[in-house]
Amino acid sequence: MNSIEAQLIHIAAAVVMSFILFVSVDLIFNLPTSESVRGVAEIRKAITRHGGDKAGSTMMANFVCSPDASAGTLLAACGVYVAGIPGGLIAAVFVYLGNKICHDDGYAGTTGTVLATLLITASTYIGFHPSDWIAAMIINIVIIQGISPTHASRGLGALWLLRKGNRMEGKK
Amino acid sequence: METAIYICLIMALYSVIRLIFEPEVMRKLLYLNIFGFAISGSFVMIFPDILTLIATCVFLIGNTLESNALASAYAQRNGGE
Repeated sequence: MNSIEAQLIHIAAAVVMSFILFVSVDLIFNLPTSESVRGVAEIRKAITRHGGDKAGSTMMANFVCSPDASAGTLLAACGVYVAGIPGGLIAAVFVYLGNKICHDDGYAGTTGTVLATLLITASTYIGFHPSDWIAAMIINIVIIQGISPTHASRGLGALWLLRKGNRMEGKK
Repeated sequence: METAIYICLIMALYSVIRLIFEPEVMRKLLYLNIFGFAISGSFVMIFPDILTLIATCVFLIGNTLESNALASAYAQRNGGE
């Protein structure tokens, strides 16, 4: 197999894995309901005005307004690319500080960064390169924010409903 | 590695084109976020160094802070508070 083809297959696999990682971390930490800053509400309104989902657009606005698991996964990939696990942990410290500056709890971003560091380091043993993960995160963020914010917010809203449904069943 | 850099740079270019043609200010911030991600990723791959990593972290986190500040200021101006 050609090396470029192999890299494209690795990037495609990394897109799926990193999407599952950062979206599940953000959903677990209730990002679609967190409106700690006023900017989030304003961006949410701009997306819902065009027919977007409320929970999904709040989550997208949180991606923009504070460094959470999406930025954490990218910075973890950058850190592992430069310096292995210590690089990923340096990125986690920066994400935590950035969250504190934004008056956010910081748990989603820091947890996402540490988990991504472990996942990316583990994946290097089966032939992945950290640069595959960097490209995968860029593709993920373009899919979520760049193609159609309205449809992306509906998709994220559907995932949030799924998560909320499970939580309600757990309470019963 | 080159493939990943090209992907980052193409996505940065795409986000800039979308940014230019987007009429709403708040929706521009979504494309600005993609631009920040793409530039951070390509920066680390072009200059792999520990100082570049720190600069990238500061750039990306600063980018989100700027977006937050812009959106808050815009909301305050529109809300009249």
